[in-house]
Amino acid sequence: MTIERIGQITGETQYTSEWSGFSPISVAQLASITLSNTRVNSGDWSWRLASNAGGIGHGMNALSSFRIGLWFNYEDLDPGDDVWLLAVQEGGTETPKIIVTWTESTDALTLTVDGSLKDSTTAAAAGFLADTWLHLGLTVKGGASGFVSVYLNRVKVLEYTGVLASSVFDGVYFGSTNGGISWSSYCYVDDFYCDSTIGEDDEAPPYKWFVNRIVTAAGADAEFTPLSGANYQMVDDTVVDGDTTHNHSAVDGNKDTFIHSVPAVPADKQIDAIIVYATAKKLNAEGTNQMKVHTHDGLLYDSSVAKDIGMDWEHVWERFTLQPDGSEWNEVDATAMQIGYESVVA
Amino acid sequence: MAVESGLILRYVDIYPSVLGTDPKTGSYGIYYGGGSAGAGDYFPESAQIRGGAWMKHNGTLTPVHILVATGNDDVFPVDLIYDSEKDELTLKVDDVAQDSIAATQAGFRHYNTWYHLGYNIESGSHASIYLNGRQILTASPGPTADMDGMYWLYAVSSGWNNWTILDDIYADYDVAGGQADAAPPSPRFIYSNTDGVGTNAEWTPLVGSNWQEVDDPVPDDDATYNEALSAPLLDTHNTGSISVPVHHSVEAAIPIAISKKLSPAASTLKLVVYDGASTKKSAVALGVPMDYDPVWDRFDTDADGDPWTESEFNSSEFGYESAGTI
Repeated sequence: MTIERIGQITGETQYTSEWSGFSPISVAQLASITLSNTRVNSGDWSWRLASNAGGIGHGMNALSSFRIGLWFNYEDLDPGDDVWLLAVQEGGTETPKIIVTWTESTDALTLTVDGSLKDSTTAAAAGFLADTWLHLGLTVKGGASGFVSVYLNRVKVLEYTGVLASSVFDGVYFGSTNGGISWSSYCYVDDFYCDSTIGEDDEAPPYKWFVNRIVTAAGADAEFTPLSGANYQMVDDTVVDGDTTHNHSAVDGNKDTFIHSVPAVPADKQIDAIIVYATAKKLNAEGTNQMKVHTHDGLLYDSSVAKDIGMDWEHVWERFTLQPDGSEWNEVDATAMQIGYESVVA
Repeated sequence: MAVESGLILRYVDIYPSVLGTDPKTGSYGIYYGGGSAGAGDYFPESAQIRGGAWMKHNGTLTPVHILVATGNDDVFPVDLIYDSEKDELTLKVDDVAQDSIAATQAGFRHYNTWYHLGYNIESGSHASIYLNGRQILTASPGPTADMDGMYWLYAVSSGWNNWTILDDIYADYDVAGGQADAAPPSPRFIYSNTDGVGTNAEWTPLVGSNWQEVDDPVPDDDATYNEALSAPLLDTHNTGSISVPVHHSVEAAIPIAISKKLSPAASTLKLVVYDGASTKKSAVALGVPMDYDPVWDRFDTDADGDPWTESEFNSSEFGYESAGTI
């Protein structure tokens, strides 16, 4: 049994490529998804869906079992508004296989699986309060012995157990319009994660908050070539700046390792994992250029497997659930831990 | 075995159009929206073709042929279809679906992000599609017929209905075939226009100086041009300086002359690069059409046979020489 993170959406890096979009999506629907620092659940940024927004979510590689958790905060949903709170797609299907719909005119919250209504309640009964951060969870297992459960604030509000036509799924999306107007005002989404849950039972997805740390100083390694200045200065962007500042390597095995900023862990919270991001691209489609990311405690390194890199700036990341020496994370060690990346050139 | 390159867009309908917003390289990209027709190029019938383009999009609500190869009168030898509603990329060979992948899985649903989309196809052998250098679709054997053209974003019904931008499109063909099925490279094309007088000015300008007749940012056809009524006559001009992007190198210089001949005579043209001492000309005189069309050649090395550098390119003059029967 395994639980493995396959993606998270936080807005903290202020970079669009951290999410994939519901398909199909129109120009207007895409334009209605923006970054916002008006309402945040953690950190400084969230994603904001305006009226008629397309869905925001995560694509996955033919997953048979997964869970998601996200925080959302909506301003209003007027009569006539109709939104797909969650839509799960499978490649080769025109209509999402799993849909959680909120119809404001009837206050109905419904779960549709493979085109059939499987469960319903009311948003009022579920506790959908406006102007309040709510945690929405979804667990799914496809195939003959499948299940779908929807959780609000970790309380199950909709469920289905039985046969699902799809054995694998390719994407899960929040907040897309159901063919008309969706959010009549804004809806904010923060701290969205998606886990593969092969072999796991149906349990409420846990709450997660994502605190962002920025590179601030040189660390143990500086083997890439900076465009100018010091290596750490090329990757300390609060907002990802593309080609403007970057480090470069055409050699296998080059490492950069850095010291980072130290935001406090919120009260009554603990560190579940450190997620190291490198926003990277390769320059030529030929060859096998990849990248590893790592943590470093001054003595030991813990490196990810080599990861594919796109042709445009995109996040390459790994979730480290333990320190390099195998111990649990704590705030003091997380603060002292250095982070970095390594080139893989075949 | 020989490999040549082509880079010309044809069959431009209402859409696509040229757009100066957000190109991958230079100042312009090819913009598709609102029911685009295809754009691409034809080339000598070949057993093997490879090529690619940079592509950025924000999705589409309608199915689109992202790539179609031509060369068979009855079917497209190769057809890559993107069905957004089905989240599906499908590779057809001779009109039969041979491979498919969810677009999400392929990494094709990050909107407003540059991808490099490539292909490597050999008749009777293979047809493969590459995204960012990674093979996402393949079929074996390849199409039964050799190919003579490749077109991008040809409409299934109404075409790409949101926007997408293509840039740095190229096609290589190999008449004999037999090259490995590997990821095509992802070159970028920087444009440098004529901007000053050079060493040679033997053609006759309509008015003014020779270089001023061929410095149009947008080709103006008969409004300004140079004319040659004998051969060989040579013009070479200074061109604008280029800045090669960091971490990139100059692979080739491709002089382009927008040319036409005035009678059906066997008028031809050679493209020329001149560095103040050495002159390199097209190895073969190139045919000239009856209406203005790009005539071009690809020089892998500079005038004296060395690899190109940014400074060597910027100090070279480029031009053309009349040839054949005028």
